[in-house]
Amino acid sequence: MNSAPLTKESGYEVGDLPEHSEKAFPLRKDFWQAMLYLLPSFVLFSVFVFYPMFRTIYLSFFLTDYDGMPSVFVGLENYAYIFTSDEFLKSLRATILFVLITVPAGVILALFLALIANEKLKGIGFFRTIFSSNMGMSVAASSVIWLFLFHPSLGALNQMLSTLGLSQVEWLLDPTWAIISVSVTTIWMNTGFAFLIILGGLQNIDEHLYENAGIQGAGYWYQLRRITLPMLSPTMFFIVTVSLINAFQTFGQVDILTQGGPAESTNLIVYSIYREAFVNYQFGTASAQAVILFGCILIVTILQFKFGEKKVHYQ
Amino acid sequence: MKQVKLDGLYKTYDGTTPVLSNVNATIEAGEFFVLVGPSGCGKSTLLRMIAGLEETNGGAITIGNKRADQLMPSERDLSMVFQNYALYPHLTVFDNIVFGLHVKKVPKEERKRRGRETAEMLGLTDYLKRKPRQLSGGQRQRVALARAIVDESPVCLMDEPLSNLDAKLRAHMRAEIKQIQRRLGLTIIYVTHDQVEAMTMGDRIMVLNKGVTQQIGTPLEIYNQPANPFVATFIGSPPMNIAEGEIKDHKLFIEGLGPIPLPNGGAIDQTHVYAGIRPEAVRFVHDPVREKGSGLIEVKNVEVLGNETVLMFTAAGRDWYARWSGQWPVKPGDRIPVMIDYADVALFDKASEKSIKHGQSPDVAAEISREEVLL
Amino acid sequence: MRMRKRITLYILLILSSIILFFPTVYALMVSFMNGREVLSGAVLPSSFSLDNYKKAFESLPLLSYLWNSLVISAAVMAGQLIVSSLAAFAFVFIKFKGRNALFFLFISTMMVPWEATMIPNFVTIQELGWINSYFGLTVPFFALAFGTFLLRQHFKTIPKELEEASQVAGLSRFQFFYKVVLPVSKTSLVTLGIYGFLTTWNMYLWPLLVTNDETVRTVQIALKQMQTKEVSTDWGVVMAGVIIVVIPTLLLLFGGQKQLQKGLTQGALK
Ligand SMILES: Nc1ncnc2c1ncn2[C@@H]1O[C@H](COP(=O)(O)OP(=O)(O)O)[C@@H](O)[C@H]1O
Ligand SMILES: [Mg+2]
Repeated sequence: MNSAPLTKESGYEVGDLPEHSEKAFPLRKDFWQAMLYLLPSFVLFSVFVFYPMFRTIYLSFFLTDYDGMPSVFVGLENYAYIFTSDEFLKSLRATILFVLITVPAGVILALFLALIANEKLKGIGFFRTIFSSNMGMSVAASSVIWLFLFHPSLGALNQMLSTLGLSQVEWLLDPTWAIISVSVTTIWMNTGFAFLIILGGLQNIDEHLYENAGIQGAGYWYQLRRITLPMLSPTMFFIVTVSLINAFQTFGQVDILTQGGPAESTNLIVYSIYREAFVNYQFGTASAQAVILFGCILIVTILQFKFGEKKVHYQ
Repeated sequence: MKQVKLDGLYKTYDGTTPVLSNVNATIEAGEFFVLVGPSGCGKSTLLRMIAGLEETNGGAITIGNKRADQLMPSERDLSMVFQNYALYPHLTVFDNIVFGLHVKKVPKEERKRRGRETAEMLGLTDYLKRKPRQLSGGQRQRVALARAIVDESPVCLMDEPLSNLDAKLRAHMRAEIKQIQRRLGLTIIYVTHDQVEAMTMGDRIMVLNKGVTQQIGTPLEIYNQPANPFVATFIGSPPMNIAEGEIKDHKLFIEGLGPIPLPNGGAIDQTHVYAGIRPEAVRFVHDPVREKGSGLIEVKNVEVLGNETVLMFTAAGRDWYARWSGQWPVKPGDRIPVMIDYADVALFDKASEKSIKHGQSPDVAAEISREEVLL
Repeated sequence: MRMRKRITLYILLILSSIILFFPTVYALMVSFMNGREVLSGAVLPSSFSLDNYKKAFESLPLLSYLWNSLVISAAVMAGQLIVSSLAAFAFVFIKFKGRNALFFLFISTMMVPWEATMIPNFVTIQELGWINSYFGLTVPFFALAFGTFLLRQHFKTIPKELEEASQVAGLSRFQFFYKVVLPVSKTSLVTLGIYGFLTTWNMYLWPLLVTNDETVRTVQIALKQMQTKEVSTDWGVVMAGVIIVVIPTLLLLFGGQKQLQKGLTQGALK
């Protein structure tokens, strides 16, 4: 080779350029190096996310034996079965109800707490710590505490009611109250995280915006509506998405508080899958339910991004 | 200290549009070489190619006697100062300075000694234990400099190192960098878009525009003998006035000004030219009728700077400047007689933009020899 | 700020705190009560006796459960930090074909709920012989898309010039990773570390599935055990257990609250 690829414009030729070496700019080597850095994640994701996902879908078309091995191909029969099964439909309904209660209530509560904790007051750090402390409370611990609070005779809730002269409530034994009780526990547990994230979002808003609005005479509610909430929308978008996904994955509260009862009223989908798989050993139908769960989360996420993101104001 | 040779360098990012084409230069050992040009003209790209941070698509780079364009940056034996300083935020000032020595496995004692010496030279001794974020902009800049010179690398590259400083500090650091360079005899390749920096610091300057070398020379060569209208307008502030002109009947015609007579024997082949006149060569005349090459101008704007006055007016459809020393009682809207001496006019061929004739700068006219100054 | 607004705010803050913190404080109080006090529905214990705590440690090998939880949480934390930071580094500092597609693939794993894939995962762990082993409780959680995402956001803020300066100084890519990128990203690493530790310490469903004896059982499962073990639950002892379980995480949270908030909001929003 005699001439380097130069522009016609320059018209300049350099003799005896060495072949472009791989040393200084090893692009091809870069690929393999990148793969090396990504390898641990990749292997783990393959084994514990991608494979089991496809395996779950695969299993959902089979009847399984006691070891969970697929034995008979049944096509969509597992799906047909669960969608005609009263139990599963109830579970699905309970899950949706649960999501509709906990997500809005939880997010609004956290927003309220973050708003009052974002003011510059003496001792505000103490309140922030209290508000975020529930993030350190595990599912098991929270559920056990609330189990006691819901206790029919010893529980603080019923004691308060009777002190006030009201009739007591069967918190965990009445099907209507049970789902509310589980929801309350969940909201209590999850406010810490949502509070922390929203507070962070509030603190990211530029002080000057408020100062300017203050100079122009805007009141608290006006500022809240016109500055805070729009500026906070990316944070809210994030926290709503996370809360939705979390709500679909609820398990521990149900296991400790109600075991899905009474009358299946709190048999949330993950608990239902768990029972179907690890109590009844029906991996096939359990997998079909898991696929439905995955579908629910997928749909919710897509809807969120489709309709939610439009309304979000990014800086 | 080593020489750096650039040979027909060519660079493209997208495979078609050239960002640099046919760049040739030899930077001598111990020289302060400035690359200057407007933003986006390819200065940084060129510097980064020399550093090995960007690959070359053609041509050769030689550092010392070694072909370098295929070497890793660390194998090229050079140091670099970045525009944003690129200090390691997690390391103290001292550790930042000796970072490179550490990598090169220089023994601890020597590292300490050299780090201290360099810090002393740059007045950083009191800040060695601080983190970069605890320093002012100027101090950070010094740390970046210290890091570049502690290496004792034969070649040091700097990419707009002063552009994040305020004007006063910038002027100060200009002098300081220049002094250090002289003292240590460093070879420095210095990138800037600021022609003042280029003029004041460079032993030689390379003017770059749209990836093409316009001119290489000493600051005064570039100022007095610009190779083309681009260099003429880029160097100097306010810029040289440029307008299309026509040469007819032994006179130079510029729209909006009176005809400027050519001297006897000064005939020129071209008729269509660009005429360039430095603002200081647009002179005030008391008697416009008698002097040749004079005309009336209407002042559009006046800047009185204390020791000099800059007027703006329109000629040949462009903004022109005149710079007169002293404080002039002139107001916008005034009509003032001015004249231009043909000797001060630089001419460029209109088609090729090549220089036909250099203007004689007023200062050169009053040239004083060095012997006289030293007397 | 006007006085009225200030007072309103304090009232709201105090009321919210009482409502929110009451269950925790009440659990603490019950943990000091003897059986009679619990049954009488007292709010405050007559004395702060540690009997319940002693009983809690006697009735179950709590100490070894605590140790298990600690080992597992620390291991997951370390694993996540290493694996995620390696991946994030590749995504930010190495240019390669298909980088965006691969990153998208990583992010998409966030949408696959662990609960939806637990059946095959359980079988996998069983086949690996990792039931009742630390491996089964830790390894599956090492790769974390959220962690990779969080660190990538932070790595992206590292100026390119820092990498170039390191190149000129002669650092290899891996040296640049652990000598510059990791130390510079300390805040994000701490955030992710706290997050990983907390979530692992609080994990419930998975330990329930893959442990069936005491060897590697965690404290969370111990709580369930305590609460279901006896016919009539001794609530004082159970609450003592609850307090023991939440103290480490609460301490970690109080210590790292600012850090966690800063890191998480950055990761979530930028
Ligand atoms: N990494 C890159 N990819 C594509 N184009 C680039 C890149 N870096 C610079 N350029 C382009 O190359 C030209 C020269 O850039 P640069 O060398 O940074 O200019 P200067 O430093 O003189 O301001 C510009 O037009 C710029 O847009
Ligand atoms: Mg540049």
